[in-house]
Amino acid sequence: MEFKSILYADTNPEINKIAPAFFQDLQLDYLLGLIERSAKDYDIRQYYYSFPGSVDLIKYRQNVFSDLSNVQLKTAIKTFCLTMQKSRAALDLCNQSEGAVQSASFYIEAADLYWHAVTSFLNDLSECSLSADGFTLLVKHLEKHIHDLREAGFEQAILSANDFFASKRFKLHIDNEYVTITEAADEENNEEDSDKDADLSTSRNYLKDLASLLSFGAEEEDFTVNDIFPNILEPSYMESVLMNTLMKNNKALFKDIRSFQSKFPDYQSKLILNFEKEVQFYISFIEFKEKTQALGYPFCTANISDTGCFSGSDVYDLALVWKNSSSDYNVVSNNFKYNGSASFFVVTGPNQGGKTTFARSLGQAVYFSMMGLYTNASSISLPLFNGIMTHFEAEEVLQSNSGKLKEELNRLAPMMKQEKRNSFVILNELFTTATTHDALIMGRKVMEHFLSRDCYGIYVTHIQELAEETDSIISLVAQLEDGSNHKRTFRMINAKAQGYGYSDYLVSEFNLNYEDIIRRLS
Amino acid sequence: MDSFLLYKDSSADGKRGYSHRSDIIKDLNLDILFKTMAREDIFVAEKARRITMIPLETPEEIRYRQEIIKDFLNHQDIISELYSCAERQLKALRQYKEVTENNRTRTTNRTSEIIETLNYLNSGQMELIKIRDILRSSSVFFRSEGLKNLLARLESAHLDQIAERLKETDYFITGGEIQYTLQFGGGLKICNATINYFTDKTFSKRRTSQKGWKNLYNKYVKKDSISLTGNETLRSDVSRLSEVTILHVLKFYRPYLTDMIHFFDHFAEEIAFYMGVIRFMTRMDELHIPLAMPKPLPIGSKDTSFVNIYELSMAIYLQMLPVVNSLSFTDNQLTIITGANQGGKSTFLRSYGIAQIMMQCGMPVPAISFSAPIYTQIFTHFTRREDEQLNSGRLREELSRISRMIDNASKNCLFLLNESFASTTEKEGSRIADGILRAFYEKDISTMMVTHLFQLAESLYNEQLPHTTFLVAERKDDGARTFRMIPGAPSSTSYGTDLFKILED
Repeated sequence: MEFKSILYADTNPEINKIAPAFFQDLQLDYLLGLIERSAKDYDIRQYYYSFPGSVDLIKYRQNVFSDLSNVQLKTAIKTFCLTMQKSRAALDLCNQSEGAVQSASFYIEAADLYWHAVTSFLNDLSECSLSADGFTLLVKHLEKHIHDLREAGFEQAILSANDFFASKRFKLHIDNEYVTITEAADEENNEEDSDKDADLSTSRNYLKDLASLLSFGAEEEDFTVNDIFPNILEPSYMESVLMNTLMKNNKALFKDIRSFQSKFPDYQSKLILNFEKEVQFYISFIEFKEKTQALGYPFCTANISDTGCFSGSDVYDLALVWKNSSSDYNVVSNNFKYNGSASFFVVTGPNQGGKTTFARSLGQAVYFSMMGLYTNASSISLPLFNGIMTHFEAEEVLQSNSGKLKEELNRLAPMMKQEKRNSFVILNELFTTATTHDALIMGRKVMEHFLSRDCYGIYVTHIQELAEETDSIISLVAQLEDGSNHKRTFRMINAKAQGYGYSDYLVSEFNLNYEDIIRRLS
Repeated sequence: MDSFLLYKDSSADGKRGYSHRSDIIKDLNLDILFKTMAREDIFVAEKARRITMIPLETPEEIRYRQEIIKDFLNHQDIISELYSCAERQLKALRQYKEVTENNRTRTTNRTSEIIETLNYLNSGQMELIKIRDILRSSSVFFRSEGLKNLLARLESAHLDQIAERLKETDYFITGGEIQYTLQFGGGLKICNATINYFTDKTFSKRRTSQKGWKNLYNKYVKKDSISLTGNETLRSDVSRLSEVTILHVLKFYRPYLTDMIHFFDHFAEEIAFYMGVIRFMTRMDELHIPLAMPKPLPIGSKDTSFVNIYELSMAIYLQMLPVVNSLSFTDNQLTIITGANQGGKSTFLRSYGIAQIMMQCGMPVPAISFSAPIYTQIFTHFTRREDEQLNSGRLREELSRISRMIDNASKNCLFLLNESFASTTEKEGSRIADGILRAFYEKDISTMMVTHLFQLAESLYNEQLPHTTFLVAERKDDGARTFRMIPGAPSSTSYGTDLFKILED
């Protein structure tokens, strides 16, 4: 197998350009917004819109992630991408600038950066232990690409063209009357020009001295001043004047740099350019994962089972985590286990009891697992699903009851007509405006439809009869938490007609009974 | 660099204060203390309030401040001079911040921001040198670790060298000469420019005289020089270069500037606190009312003893020494004070609370001697007499108040309860208080409670709970009150029976 893509191996999958229907219901659009922040210079959205679709490809991605847990590798990739970006920027400038000498100099800079990017990347990769096919194939491709370029004399050409920029240093002296530019003398060899006064020497770096005096932890690049005249397409007046002065005094200065472009019109590898974009899918998700973990929530690698086993522990709603990330709100996680074949969870329980959140967290878990990403749980095992279908109550409240029911059925119909097998289905509060009797009948029919097509699913409802357990229906009940006084408990306290009455009630309300205080102070 | 005058190795920033400060200040009348410390100085008032409301946690921390206070008390000229530095610098800083805030929205005024920054840096540097020199001048007398270490840090901070470097930045304001070594990079743009040096005019003249012949050669023979005279385009590019350069140089000073601002922020706060303490001590000295440097015991200790403790706000208000109390508790965790109204119970509770708070911020305390454990938090829960009435709204307020305190309470904190839960019947109040006191007791929380809940006091007394002390307000047989607390069984005597006696006469 040859390297083709870090996302799709050697397959050619169909890639959706728009978000799937379930994205909004599962709040994946919100999460994707968070994830893509880490990949700010790349458009990674559409990578998230299609499932890889095979167990092999899911594992291909999982293996890439597993290699990427090596920080060294991650850093190498980031460095590579950064240099590639710089190279592209230089190439853009080359295409835009008007002066021939200037354009040629940008072209060389771009080529130089590209060469630097691929060679150091290969170097870095060889120092990491890699086991994912995605990376071992990439290494082979890089080796060949670098070898080919080197054979063609690319490296040598860059070195000699670059020499001009790298080796020549100039001394610029400015006082109130004159600007003076001279080639900086080689300090050791030129007795005449070397200043006796070390303070005035061209080898003195004022900023370096200052940094050590101020104990300022500066990077090497901070010790030089760059980007003085920000318009990079065109030399500033001062730069032109200085350049002219120099050319007048040394005509041979610019000879070498103009022939490079005609020799190497097309040196980039398309697959590597593509890798740079696609790898952002991994890098950005890892950063998202690390930030989430820092908030105290786990991730795991999904186990794709072929036995129909579907269970997980500590699944939680990622969107809820992030929407509350600035407060110390603790998002509850859940364990679940389906029977070993197509079946539905029917979730009942009081309002605000976390039913929808649970359904959403399960949907997210299926989605992330099927994408080959890390899953929002501490462990999960699930079969390969062909898709996810969701039906959440629309927020439209202005409609009449009959209108709402119709709207619900209209959205449900296409889901059922698709006749897709092996999907994961989330139905949230269907038929709330129908009578219980009707809703029960319809609800059962809908579940039967999906069950007969080997779908797993979760059905959130108020209708307790729907939760009557069968072989393929598992009843779950949302429990209200009876925790410390920080959380809303819905415990009812009856104020007794006699006895301590109201004060007793107040003491309980504020959790000031002896036992309460002991617990609070523990 | 930091001044570290409040803590050995940190400032007060981010330190956990009393969670119910405003209750403490109100219940213990601390505003009078703050006023005495401030003497109309708003800044001192603010800082006195802030620092007293952050309890120290170890005897070492407390002694650290006590030592500094002693040094300042012996050299009051030093604290005044240092406070002047702090005030001056606060003003300069306020001005600087104002200018930079104003300019943040405008991009055109970059030059003036640069100038302000350089000016502030220069003046701040001078002030640092001044502070160092003030401390240097009396360093031989210092006994405190805090002042000695501060001076040592200032001595090793290269203050004079940095001042010299800052002086050179005058180039960017008055002109002079500058030299770079640079390269031409992609697009033939200047890049990797190394600054060799810059200097203002004076230095330039000296140099010209030495190198005159070579400059002339460059200008006229080699034609390496371009004249700025009459060339406005070039001049404006030179300004641009100069601005980028100073901005780059300022980038190096930026952390130093931030440090400097932090230093002065902290220094001003710390000195203001000590200034307040010294003013307060001076005032008490004028009134001939004694103060004692307390002896703190570590967290978890349960021994408290004091001689002639008095209620500070009353003393300042009356300008004389009020009633004093001397008591000693060993291994004591719960103190119940009962007795007649107007017997000095609340006053006593307050005097103890004030002394405890003052000790825990390192200050001298209103007593002849005072020794007590350090508590992690102190809570005051006083009945607010003015609106005392028997209704459920009051009880609800009281309970919710103490409940919020319990949210912040833990082992080894101190509760001062003054007639809490009196806004319901005695039976109900006793029951509520009983649950709370027992839970506190169990969880190693110390409590001192003034109460009229006789049922509560009596049942606790009869139980003979260890680590518990019962005090009563002393009352002579003729009904006269001495306002002193003495150990004794809970008394059911109330204002009413005395009143009844008066009627009999």
